[in-house]
Amino acid sequence: MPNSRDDLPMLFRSLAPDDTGFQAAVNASARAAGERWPLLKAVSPKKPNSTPALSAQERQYWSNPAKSDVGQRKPALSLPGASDKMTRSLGRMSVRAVSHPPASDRNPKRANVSTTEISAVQVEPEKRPNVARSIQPTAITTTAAMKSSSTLFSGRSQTRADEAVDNTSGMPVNHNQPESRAAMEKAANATPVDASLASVFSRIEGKVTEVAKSASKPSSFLSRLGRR
Amino acid sequence: MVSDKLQSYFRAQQVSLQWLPVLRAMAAEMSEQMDAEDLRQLFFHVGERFAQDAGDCFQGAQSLIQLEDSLNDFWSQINWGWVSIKEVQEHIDISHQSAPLAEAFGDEALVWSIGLLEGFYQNVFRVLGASDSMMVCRAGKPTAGMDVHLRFGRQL
Repeated sequence: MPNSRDDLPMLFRSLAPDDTGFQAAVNASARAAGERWPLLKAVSPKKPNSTPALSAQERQYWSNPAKSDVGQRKPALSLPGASDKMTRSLGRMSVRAVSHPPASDRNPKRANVSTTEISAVQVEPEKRPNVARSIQPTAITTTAAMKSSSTLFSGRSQTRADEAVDNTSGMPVNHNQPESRAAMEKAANATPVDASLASVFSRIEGKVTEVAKSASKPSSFLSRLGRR
Repeated sequence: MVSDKLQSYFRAQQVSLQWLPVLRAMAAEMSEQMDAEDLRQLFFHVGERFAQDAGDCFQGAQSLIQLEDSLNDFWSQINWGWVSIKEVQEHIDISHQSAPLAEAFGDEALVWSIGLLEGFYQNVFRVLGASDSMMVCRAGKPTAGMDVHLRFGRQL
């Protein structure tokens, strides 16, 4: 029986597992595996080459990259943006305005105003597509396949919308936007022809001879028509 | 032409290889056993039943535009092409593009297999309130291929 705490570590060391047999078995199995599968010998990992030593300059860079000249890189070339294009176009226009001032007024202030007006007009069209793009298409279908089909068929629907709607707002008509379908519906409602299925069937059956008559009193006339 | 090759390629993709030989054999056998008009009537009733199962897809349509959109959503789900529905004078023009009928049963069987779409659209318009005096029938001469043209109007 241990009488003091000093005997405990020795006791635990004596209780340590004896893994010599385990190690011998592992080594033996590795040798046996190598003999059974020669490929293991062929692809035995080789010790990689030692890491090359850093030079003084590299060491300096790694130790203090902020102060090192090696770490400084030239800024990457950036693509010209809209502002660059606008700057160039304004420059060209200003050169043209100065070299060829209007015949009616050679006041330099007027030339600057005209340049500003021209630039404003040039800026304005760029704003318009953003308005059209900002309109998000409404969700019509529930599956991805349905969505692809809605865009597929929205083109033909937009053709009918363009025929019916007089675009006087100045907005560019985007044939791929489903909101044009809403415009088409509005146009259908605005025109004298009733687009409801009941009226369509009535017209086809011959109950309504003239479309204009139905447009004059839509509510009272159609209310008298009933489904068979 | 490239467009013909593309059309041929995509037409070959319409029908599952698992069922194509069976459908072709069935069409050939039925053509020998029954005349074209009887087969067309059979497929007409098949199309009506087909539309009854798909009633939820189009029953809420209030206009031809909504009906077209609803039907195209349905056709696109099952890879049956698309349809264009327009009111033309005294009838409704139905142009169903890329229908797999010709590929499934053969071009020579299109004379009667078209009855399937006739029955389908007949049921659609009946459910939406059209009278029984109006019928769906083939428009013009039968043409081989994936496009089917029908008209819905008063019986002639």
